[in-house]
Amino acid sequence: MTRIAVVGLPNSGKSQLCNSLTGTYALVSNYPQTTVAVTTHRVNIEGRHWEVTDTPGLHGLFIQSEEELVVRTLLFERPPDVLVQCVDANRFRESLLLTADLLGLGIPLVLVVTAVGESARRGINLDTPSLGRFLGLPVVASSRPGAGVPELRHLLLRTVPVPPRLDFGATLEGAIGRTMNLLSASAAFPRASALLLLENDLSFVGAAVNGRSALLEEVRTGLAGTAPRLIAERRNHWVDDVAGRVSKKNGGGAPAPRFSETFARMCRHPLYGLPILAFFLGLVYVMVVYVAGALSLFLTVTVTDPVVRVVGILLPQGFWKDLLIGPHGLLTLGLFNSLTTVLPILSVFFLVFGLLEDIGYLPNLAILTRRVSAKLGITGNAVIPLVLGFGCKTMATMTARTIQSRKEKLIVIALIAFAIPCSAQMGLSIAILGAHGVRYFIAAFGLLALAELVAGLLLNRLIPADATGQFIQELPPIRMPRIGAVARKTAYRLLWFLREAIPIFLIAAAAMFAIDSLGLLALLKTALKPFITGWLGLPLDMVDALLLTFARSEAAAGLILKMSHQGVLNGAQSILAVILITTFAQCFANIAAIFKEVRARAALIIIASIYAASFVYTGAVHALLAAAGGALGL
Amino acid sequence: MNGITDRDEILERLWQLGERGAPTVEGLRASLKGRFDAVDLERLQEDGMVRREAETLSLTGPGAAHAERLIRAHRIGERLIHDVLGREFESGACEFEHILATEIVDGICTLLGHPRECPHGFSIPQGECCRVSARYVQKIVVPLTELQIGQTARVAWVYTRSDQQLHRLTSLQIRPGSIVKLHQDYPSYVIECDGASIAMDEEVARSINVWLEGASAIRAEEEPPRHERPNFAKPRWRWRLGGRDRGH
Repeated sequence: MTRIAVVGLPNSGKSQLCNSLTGTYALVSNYPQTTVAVTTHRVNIEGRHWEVTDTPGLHGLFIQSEEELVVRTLLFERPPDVLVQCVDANRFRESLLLTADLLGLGIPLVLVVTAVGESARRGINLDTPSLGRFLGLPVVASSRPGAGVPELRHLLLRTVPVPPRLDFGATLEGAIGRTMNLLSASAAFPRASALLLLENDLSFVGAAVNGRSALLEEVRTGLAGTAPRLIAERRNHWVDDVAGRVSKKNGGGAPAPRFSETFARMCRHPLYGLPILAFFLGLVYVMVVYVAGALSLFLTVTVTDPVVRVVGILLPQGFWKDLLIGPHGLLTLGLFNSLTTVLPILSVFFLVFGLLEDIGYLPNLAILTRRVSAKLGITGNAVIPLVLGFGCKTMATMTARTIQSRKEKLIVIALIAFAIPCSAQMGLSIAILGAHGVRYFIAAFGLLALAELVAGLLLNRLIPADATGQFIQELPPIRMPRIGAVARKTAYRLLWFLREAIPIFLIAAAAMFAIDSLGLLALLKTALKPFITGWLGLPLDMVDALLLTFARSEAAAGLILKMSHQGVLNGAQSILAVILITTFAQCFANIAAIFKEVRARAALIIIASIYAASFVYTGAVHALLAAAGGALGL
Repeated sequence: MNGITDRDEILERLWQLGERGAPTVEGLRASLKGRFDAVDLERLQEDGMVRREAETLSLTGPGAAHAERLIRAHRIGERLIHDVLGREFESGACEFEHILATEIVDGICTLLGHPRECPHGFSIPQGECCRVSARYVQKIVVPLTELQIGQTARVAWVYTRSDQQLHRLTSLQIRPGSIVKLHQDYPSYVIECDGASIAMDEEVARSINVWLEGASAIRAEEEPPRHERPNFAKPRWRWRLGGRDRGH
């Protein structure tokens, strides 16, 4: 079996390449950190077994974040037979810097140059054949996503040569040699390890030279200059040398600013950025409320209602009828809730959201919100996971591992879990509120934003400060959306929802039915009545929804949507219900992710505080709406 | 071997050794190789510049002040040679500190935008001009934050507070010689560098120092023809010297 690892800069098209190479599908986006863990696919091509590993973004072997550490650990501990590097033609020098490190590993290497067409439009032409000749490596040019894959397959079927390494010059090579002697005999990649030690990679130094740090220090101080500087200089020269040979600027002056750049700048602009944000939010609102609403209504009329009617006629009053189409029936609360209520809304929302992801809008939005987030104690790169929380909270919590400051990490994880609706929650919440009118939507999301702000300010005060992170973030280029890619991603997410969620919807319905049949639900409702109807101002049936959130928040949202349509919930109560569900519902995957990213004690405190804060805040909003709702027109 | 220059050399070495730990007589001897002279060291002790306890040496108050001036001149000189004239700084600068007056060093320092590190990555002691952020010499190197939106400039030097940060910036191609374009300065700084848009805080932007466009044009004109500068025209760097004009 041939083990192939695909590596490259963040957002350089690794997942795309893996998908094309193996014929499988993993999430692809136009922003960094779409992949945070290693994923492996086994495929069989022309009778050969391949294990293709997709990796998170990597800038070099010198580690800058935890997901980079994942990649280096993979390379060092289970060295692949062949490395495939995605070289982003737009960021050619940056990519070459990684190539310089990879050459030092002595693993056969193939370069796939992506976005060649895009960089040509920007006025930079790469001569890929001469790049290959100069480096002594096979190089494949890929002008658009998926192109060049047959050529790559063909190359991988043959033996890929070990590339020549980079020479650092006599002085540094001497130091590298002396450092290599300090390593234990069993150390993997002695040359690359020696370089990392000289460069003072803190994640590496302690582990590699146990007890010999004094000798290492001697080698380091024996150099005329600081080792990291000298190595960086040398590598930079090499990069400039290679880039100078193979990249050509066409035309004289700088190319005229293109629409995409202007648009990206406007998205980040404090003045123009807000209308653009409002436009996208409006687009999402209209699509969800009108298009998805119509779709959902159509399915209810053509599928749900007739089936329920027929079952009602066929079955006599009693256990079986209640089990299937009662208030907690397997069909009504389980199957149809997921298929005809929730699915249409998610389809439309995922489509629009996927479009925004493909354009590359979200990280630019993060820039717009930087000043606000700094007030919440989020100074470094931590704002990106926060924005990604609007996609999937679990994924966002996992990207929080890239945050170095413990304080910021805690704040971000807590804020993601608290009042940020994930894409599924957001789609359904918009549908619930849209049933009453746009002002309810604005009020509810305004109040959620306020909750997040207050929570952030409090956390910033409560958690002791540590080293603040510095904000340096690469932004993806704004691209025209590719309809095929967006459709594929939407389909992937919907299939995932169907596979994961429908069984849970059914189980949850069965559990609710059981609790109800045993009389426990009635008991619970009696016990919680003063709290639910008094403090929160919601109808007693919300207990059902709250119980359902323990299974999946979409199941609860589907139920609330139905209550909203049936007039059980009025506009103001819809606001309360959405706030309660968004803050209260924690999906299991996210809770698991929180426990993985922070220590158990901190995770427990975060989750318990969120439950408490959810009830306190919803109650407070109830009091506010009761006192001033009329004046506000709600 | 005698004289002021040799004693200055000892003070400089003691300062450098002090940056890495406590200097010893043996360390000083190794550092100066054949040029170590016990008499010079004794004279410095008599003058109250150096303190000796058994084998450990240390600079006294006046000794440290003097050494700081020398080191500052030496490293500023290296920066000048590295940033303005070319790349070879190994041989040239070691004579600088013995001939330059403090005012001249301050002038060069201001000219270069008060650099904080020598090309080797060692820190340059601050002078009076740094402390008052002098601008009386028209600066040609300014922090990125002083560029106009849409302006393009070449990076002169980058101050990094750790090896990690040096690596981060280098991996994004923000390093001496790179061309950067300022796109936006609020709510964050956004620059374009090597085809990528990079957002950063003001603190990071302030640590990136660039040649002002007009100033660097003048500099290019004043550069003598290459064949008159045998020291810098080593063939392996030729393309790089040629590449210097890319931004114009």
